[in-house]
Amino acid sequence: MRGAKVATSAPGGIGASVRRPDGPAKVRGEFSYAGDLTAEGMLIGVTLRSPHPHARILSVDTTAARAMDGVHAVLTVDDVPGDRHFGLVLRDEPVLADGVVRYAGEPVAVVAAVDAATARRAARAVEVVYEVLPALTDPQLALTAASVHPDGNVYRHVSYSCGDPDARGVVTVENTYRIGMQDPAFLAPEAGLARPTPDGGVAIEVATQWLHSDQKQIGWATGLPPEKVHVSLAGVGGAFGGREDVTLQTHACLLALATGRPVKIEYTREESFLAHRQRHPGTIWLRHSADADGRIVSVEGRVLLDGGAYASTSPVVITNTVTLLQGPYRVDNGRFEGWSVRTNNPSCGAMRGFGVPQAAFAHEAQLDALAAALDLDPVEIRLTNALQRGDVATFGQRFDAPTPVREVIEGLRAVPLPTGPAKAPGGVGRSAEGGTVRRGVGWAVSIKNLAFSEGHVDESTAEVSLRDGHATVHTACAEVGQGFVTVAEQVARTVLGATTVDVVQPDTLVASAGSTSASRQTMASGTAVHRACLAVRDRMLGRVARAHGLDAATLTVADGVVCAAGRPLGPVATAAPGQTFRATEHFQHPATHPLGSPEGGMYVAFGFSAQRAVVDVDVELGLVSVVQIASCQDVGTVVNPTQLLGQIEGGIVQGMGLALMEEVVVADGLITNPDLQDYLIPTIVDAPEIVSTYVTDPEPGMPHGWKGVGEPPLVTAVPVVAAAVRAATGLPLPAVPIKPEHIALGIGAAPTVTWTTPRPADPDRPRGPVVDEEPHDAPGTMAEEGAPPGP
Amino acid sequence: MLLEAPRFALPETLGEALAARAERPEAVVVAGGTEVMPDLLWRNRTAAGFLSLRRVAALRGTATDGGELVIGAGTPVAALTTAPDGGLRAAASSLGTPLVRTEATIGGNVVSALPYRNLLPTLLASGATLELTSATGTRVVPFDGFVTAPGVTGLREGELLTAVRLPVHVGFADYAKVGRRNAQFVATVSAAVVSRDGVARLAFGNAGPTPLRSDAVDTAATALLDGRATPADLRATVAAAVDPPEDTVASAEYRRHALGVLAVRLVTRAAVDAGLGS
Repeated sequence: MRGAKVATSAPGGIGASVRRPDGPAKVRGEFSYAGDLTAEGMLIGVTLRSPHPHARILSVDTTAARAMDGVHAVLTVDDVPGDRHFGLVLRDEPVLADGVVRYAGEPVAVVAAVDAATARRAARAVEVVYEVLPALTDPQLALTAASVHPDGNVYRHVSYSCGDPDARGVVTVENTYRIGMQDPAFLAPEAGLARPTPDGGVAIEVATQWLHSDQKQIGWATGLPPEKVHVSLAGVGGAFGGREDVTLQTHACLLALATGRPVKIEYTREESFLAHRQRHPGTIWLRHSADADGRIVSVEGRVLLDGGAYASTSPVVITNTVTLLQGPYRVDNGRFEGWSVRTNNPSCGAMRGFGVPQAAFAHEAQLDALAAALDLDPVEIRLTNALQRGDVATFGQRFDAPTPVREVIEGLRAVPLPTGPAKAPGGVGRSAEGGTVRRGVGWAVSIKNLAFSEGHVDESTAEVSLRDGHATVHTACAEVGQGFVTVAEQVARTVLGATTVDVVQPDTLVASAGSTSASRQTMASGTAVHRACLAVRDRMLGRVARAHGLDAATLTVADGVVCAAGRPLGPVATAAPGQTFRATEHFQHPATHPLGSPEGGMYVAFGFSAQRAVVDVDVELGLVSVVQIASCQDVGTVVNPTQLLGQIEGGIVQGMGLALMEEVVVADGLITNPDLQDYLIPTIVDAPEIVSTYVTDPEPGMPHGWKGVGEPPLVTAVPVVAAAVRAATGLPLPAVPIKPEHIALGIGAAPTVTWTTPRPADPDRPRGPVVDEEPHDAPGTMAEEGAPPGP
Repeated sequence: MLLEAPRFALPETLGEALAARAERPEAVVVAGGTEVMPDLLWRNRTAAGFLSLRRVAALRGTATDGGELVIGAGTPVAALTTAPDGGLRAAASSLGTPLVRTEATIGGNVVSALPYRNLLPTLLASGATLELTSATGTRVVPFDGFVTAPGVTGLREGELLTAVRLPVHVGFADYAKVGRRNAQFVATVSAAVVSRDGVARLAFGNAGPTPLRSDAVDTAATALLDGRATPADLRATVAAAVDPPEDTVASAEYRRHALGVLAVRLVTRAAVDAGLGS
C-alpha cells in the first residue's frame, strides 16, 4: 500500500518518480523567478495604497508626482481606458480606487519611474485627501449593516435541507467553531513584467495561477481584445490559491501602455500580505444528533464567512463549506445554511482547500464530541458513518465513483505509532525541561471536492507534437510548483514512447487550461495532454502502417518501441525520420450544476483522506510539538511517487500551520502582522515525521484512473492536529489556530451535550435537497434543544 | 577613503570608530545589521548615515580577565553558542537562525534594548557589566539599569559599547524562552537563572518595558531552591513583580502565567544541577 504500485510503462513514464526539470536550478538558487525578470529600458512600477479600511476619496492630486524627474506615468482610476471593475466571479472591484476605498491596502494610484526609489518617492508625492468612514469589520454585523458597496454586503446566502432535519437519536452535541484567517504565505512575492507590443497590445510575464483569467481581466481594463493581450508564465515561487486573483497584472499593463516602456512591478512582503487573497476566516455552528451506536441521525449547520471588501471567489467558497459540513459521512437528514459577507477587512478568496478546511475542522471536532458523549472509539464512530459508493450526499449528488472512506481509515490504522524520542514542545526555546509533557493521539477524515463546481466550466487544451522521438507539450496550465511539468512529460513518454520531452512555458497562445487550483490540473490538463498524445500517436502509427504496408490497427507503442501485433518494429525515435506529427485536443469534465438543480451533481469528483496525529503538549505553557502525522489518502493512481509525497507533506505542514500558528491578525481593518517575523509558518523544526500511504482505486473516466491530490492533505491536517491536542489536554479547543494561551489558560467552550428522545425521520419529508432562498434566523442559533451556542 | 564618504563610515580600528562616532552623532551604528537592515527595508527607521563596526577586529572575540569573561561587543552571537556560561549559551543558541546568529552581535543585541531580545535576561541574571568607551576613556557600568525604556539605553553621546563582562562563576546558569513555534521566533516571554552558593537570581524578558528582575523574586526563588517555599509561592511572587505587555501575540495574563512557569522550571533545573532535587 505504501508508495507506488503502478506499473511503469516506459522509462520516465506514468508511475515513475520523474525529477522536475526546474529542480536543479531551484536547489542551486539559479531558477529565474518572476522577481528576477528584467528588460532593457525597463521602468519600475509602484502602487500607492489606502491606509484606511474605509474612506471616501475627496481628491487625488498627482501634479507633484508627475512633475518629478524620472517619473513616466502616474495613473488613477480616471486613466483606466476600459472597464473600471474586475473580479473573478463578480465584477465588483475597482482597478484603482474609484471614489471610495474599502480595505486598507486598496490600490489608489500606480506610478512608473526609472527606478524603485524614484517611483516610491513619486507615490508618496501623490496627494490623496480621505474622509475616513466607519469601518465595517464584524461579519455578523455585515448582514444587517448599511451596505459598504453598491452590490450589497452578502456575497451569497446558501440554505437547504434534506430528509427530516428534526429527526433525533439519543443525543445531540453542538458547538460553535472558529477558524482564523490564513495567508498563503508563498515565499516569492507577486511580480510581473509588462511591455507594449508593436500591434498596440500588451504582453506580460507574470507569476500567476490562471493565465486566461488574467488575460480577460487585463482586457477589460485596457479595452484591448484578447488577441492583443498576451500573458505568459514567469517563474512562480508558491501560489496556494493566492495568485488566482489579479493583483499587479492590470496595473503593470496599464503602465506599460501609458509609457510605451517595459514596466516591472514586484511587491514587497508587506504589500504581498495586503494585496493577495487570504483564506476566509469563519464561524461555524454545528449540531449532530446520533443513535446510541454513534450512527448520525441528523446534522444542522450554519456558517458565516468573512469575505472582506471584494467578492473574489466568496460566492463559491461558501457553498463548499456549507455542503461539505457533512464530512465523509452518510447524513440523510440535515439543514444547512451559510453566508459569505462583505466587510472592510482584507479580501478573502481561493486558498488550498477552498472553504473545506473550515468545514473539516468543525465536523471532525463534532465526531470526536459525539464519540466522547457516547463513550465510543473515535475510529469506530467514523467507520460506522463512513460514506460508501452509492450513498447520496446531503446536496443530492450520488457518490457513483469509488468512495473509499473506510479504506483510508483502515489503511491508516495499519500504520504503527511512533516509538522513538520526539522533539520537545517549545523547541529551541528549551522551555519544556523541568515541566510535564503529555502525549495525545487524534484522528480525522475528510472529503474534498475536486475540480470546479456548480456549472463553472472545467476544461483544458493541449497541443502536442512529436518528431524523431522528441515530444513538445504546450498547454496554458500554470506550473506553480505542483508538478504538472513532470506529469505532462510522463504522459508523453508513456503514450508516445517519446525519448525526450519539452514542456513549453505556458502562455495564452494556446486555449485556456483553467486555474491551477481545486486539485484539478492533472485531471484537466493531464487528460488533455493524454488525448493529444493519443492523437499524435495514431497519426504516427498511420504513417508507419502506410510505409510498411501494415494495418494501423495492429500497431502499438510500448517502452518507446513501435510494435506490430506485439512484435517490435523499431524505436519511436526512428519510426518516421524527419516527420512531425501534431495534434491539439481539448478535455472538459461532464457538466456540473448549481446546488439544488434537478439536472445533476454540483461536483466533478471527490477525494478522501484520513490522518492520525501524535503530539506532545507542554500543557502548562500551551506549547505543542507535532511528533508524527500519518496519512492514508485516496489518490486514484500514483502518477509520480516523489511529487505525490511532496503534495502530502506540504499540505500537512500547511494545515498544521493553520491549526497551531498561522493567522493574519486584523485589528480595526488593519493587518497587524504583514511580515514573516510576525506571521508565523512552520519551520523544519516544527514539521513532524510524515508517513504517507495510499488507496489506489482508479477514478472512472480519467486516464490511468488519476485524480486530484493537492488539497486533501491540508484539509485533514487542520482537524487532526486539533484532535490530538484535545486528546493530550482534555480541552475543547473550538478555535484554530490554537494559541498557547488557549491551552495554558483553558480558553474555549466545550460542546453542549443534550440527551434526547429518539424521533425517527418523517418519511414524507423529501430526501432533498430542498433549497431555501430565505434565511432562517440569525446565524449560529437554532435554539431547539435549549442549548446555547458556543463561546 | 571610506571614512570620508559623507554617509557611511567603515572604520578598521577602535580609534577610528570612536572618532567617527564623535564626528557623526547622528549616524546609526551598525554591526551585524540584523536589526538595522530589516528596519530600513520595512521603513521603520530612517538614517542620516551609518557607522559600521564590521571591520573593527578589536571588538571581536572573548577573553578572561581575572574573574570575568570579557566579550567584545562585535562578537557574533554564533560564537556565544559554545560559551562557558550556560545561560548565555542557551540564549545565543535560540536566537534567530544560523544565518542571523552568524551576523548578529552581542553588542547589537544589548544596544537595541528591546524587551524581548534574547541575551538581555542572561546578562541581567548574571550581574554583567558593560564597557562603554568614548574618545576620552572607558567607563564600566552595570547592565542592570542600562536599559531605561524599550530601545533606550544609558549610552552617552560619543560612546560605543565595546565589551560585555560576565562574572565567571562556578554555579548554574540557564535560559528558556516561549514563543509560538519551535524555532526562529521572537520571545513571547523569556527567563534566565543564575544559581550560586545556594542563592538563585532570576531575570525576565518581555515581562515589562525593560529587562526585569526583583529582589522579592530572587528571595522566593532562593527559598524554592532550598525547599523553604513552594512553586506556587514563586509563581505568585513573579506574577506580582512583572508587568508584561498585552498584544496580538499573547495576553498579559498568559505572559504573567508563563513567566511564573519558566521561573519555577529554571529554579527546578538549578536544584537538580545542585543535587538538591530530582
